[in-house]
Amino acid sequence: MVSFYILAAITLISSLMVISRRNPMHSALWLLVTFFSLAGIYLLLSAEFIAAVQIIIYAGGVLVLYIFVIMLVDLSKEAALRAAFHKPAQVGFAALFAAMVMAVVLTVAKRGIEPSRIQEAAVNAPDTTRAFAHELFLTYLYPFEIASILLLVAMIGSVILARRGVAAADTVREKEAR
Amino acid sequence: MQIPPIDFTAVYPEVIVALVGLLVLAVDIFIKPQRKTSLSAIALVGLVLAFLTTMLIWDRNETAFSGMVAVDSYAQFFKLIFIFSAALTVLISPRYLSLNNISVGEYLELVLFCTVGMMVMASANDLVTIYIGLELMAISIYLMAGFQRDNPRSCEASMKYFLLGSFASALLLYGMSFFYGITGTTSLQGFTLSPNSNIIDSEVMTRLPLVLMTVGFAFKIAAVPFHMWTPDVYEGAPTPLTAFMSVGPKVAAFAVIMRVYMKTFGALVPDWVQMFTLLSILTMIYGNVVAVAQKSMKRMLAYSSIAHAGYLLIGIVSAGTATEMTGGKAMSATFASESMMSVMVYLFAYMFMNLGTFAVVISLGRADNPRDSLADYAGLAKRRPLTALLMTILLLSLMGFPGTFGFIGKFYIFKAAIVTGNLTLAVVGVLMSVVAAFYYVRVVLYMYMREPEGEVLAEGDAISSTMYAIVVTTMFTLLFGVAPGFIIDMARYTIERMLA
Repeated sequence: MVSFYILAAITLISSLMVISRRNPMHSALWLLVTFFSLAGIYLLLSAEFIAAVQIIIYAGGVLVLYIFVIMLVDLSKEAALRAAFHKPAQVGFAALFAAMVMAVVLTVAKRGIEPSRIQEAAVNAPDTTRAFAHELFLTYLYPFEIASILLLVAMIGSVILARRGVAAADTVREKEAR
Repeated sequence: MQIPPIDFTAVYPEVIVALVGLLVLAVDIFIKPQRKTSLSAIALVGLVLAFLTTMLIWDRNETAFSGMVAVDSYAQFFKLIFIFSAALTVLISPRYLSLNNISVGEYLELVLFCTVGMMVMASANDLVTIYIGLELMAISIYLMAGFQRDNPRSCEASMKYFLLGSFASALLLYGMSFFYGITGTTSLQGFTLSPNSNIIDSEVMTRLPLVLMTVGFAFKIAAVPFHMWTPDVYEGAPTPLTAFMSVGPKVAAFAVIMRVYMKTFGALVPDWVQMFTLLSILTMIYGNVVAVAQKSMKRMLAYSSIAHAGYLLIGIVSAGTATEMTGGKAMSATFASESMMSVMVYLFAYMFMNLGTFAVVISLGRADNPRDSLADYAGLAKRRPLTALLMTILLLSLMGFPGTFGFIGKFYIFKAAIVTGNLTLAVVGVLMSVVAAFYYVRVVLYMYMREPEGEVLAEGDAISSTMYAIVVTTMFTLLFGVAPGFIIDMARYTIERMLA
């Protein structure tokens, strides 16, 4: 219980830091702290697979992507950006949306959730990674394999679209050279 | 640990088409640019192999991969349509691709992978499989629509389809997640397998996934009011792809709709019959009326394909009302299977005639001028008598003229509607077919009666694989128009086994 409170406090504080820092790079680094403490909470819930995925995918992949984007965006126009996101209607909408989310969270917290409808073995398995792998590679093998083709198509597509731009620029340059 | 049996023979057609796609990808890198046409040959050979293996597993009736895949003749019937449409697309493409500097290899790969996606959808027995197949199909098409990156219209088409398509996918997934939440399973037998049936009876809960999934599928078949993307995307995309996507995704979505709605949502028939009736009427009226006002052939065919989705929905509605009919279980089952049979035959006919018509549009285009406006067709019969004749036959078939395959499709659809008591739908359908006759016959009149105004640009050369595709589609249109018994028996056989 003590470890839960420590981790929960770290999560809350670091996520507050994420949204309150001026420098977006600092926000991104605080987000890293949030991800790690969340992974700790998953471990406490004995969901070690989700904890590992949380660290590998979110801390390892998604955050690096964030940092790339931050470095690519021109932050010198911060004032203009700030103005663009502070229109009264936007603030009102954000407040309304946050209130709605909070209402849902509070109702659920008060009533409790019944996950009883999912009667799959995974819920009670002592080793969640094994149970997960069992489902993914045996029961859902076919969609899993098709998903690999899907990813291949996405990869081919990104190569085609990116290369086409270079090729077009090259032909323009050749024409100009002539 | 118990390992469930993995039976790859059940998905041989998909495996072969995917492997051929990979082969084209590999060969494309090593082959000289001037010999790229051999890639089309590889693709065609692969599709023939897939056709043969589909026939090989035709008679099986089981599920494979722990219930993820249904191996039944219903799925094989649709796989045949996809293989035919992919092969015809491979035939009609080379000329257009070389005129517009599109790389053959990449294009063929995506056509083949898209075909895999559609086959996965048709044989899916689980919501997860349906969704993965649908995304594989959709992502390939988003990419192909944007192939001409220096052409702003093509980019617009790709972007529009991508944004709206992902939104529709999201709605579909939302519906599927509710389905999972209610039943605790993603299997299509969900509502019947669920141990807790008191939730099924609750009114609101079961209708939520039904409505959301209907929206997702209606987007794929371009039913009004979810058709907004269709004209712009069809016009902006490369023409051979327009031909492919006006057939493939629509057929795949109908295959899934018939399986899901008849088997899974069988308890909710009154609800979805209402929804589809409304969609059908709106789609027929809007598609046909707006098509009259079009000057561009591609746009006209886009609206006509919207209208065809409306006719097809009549068949779905009839199948739904048939299952509710009183007067003996045997009779209602017969009417339901007859209605679904009419949809399948119509889809088969639609594939031939629509691909053929687009092939004619492609064969007339030139590098500097697509020549797809109505005025370009004036006096075509004098300049290209054979093409004009074939185009006339294909257009008459789209219209539903007796003696063509299109007539057979329409006849059975309207017959099913009348037998099951959907008179309103039948009347609207027949009236709208008259409107459709106006804009199809107008093209014929332009070709035969009208003299071209001003200077006439010569059309593209007639000798190309595109011409083979036109001749093949026209031949099938006439052949099955005169002797449709074979296709009808095939469809009836598959549907009876699926519903049993």
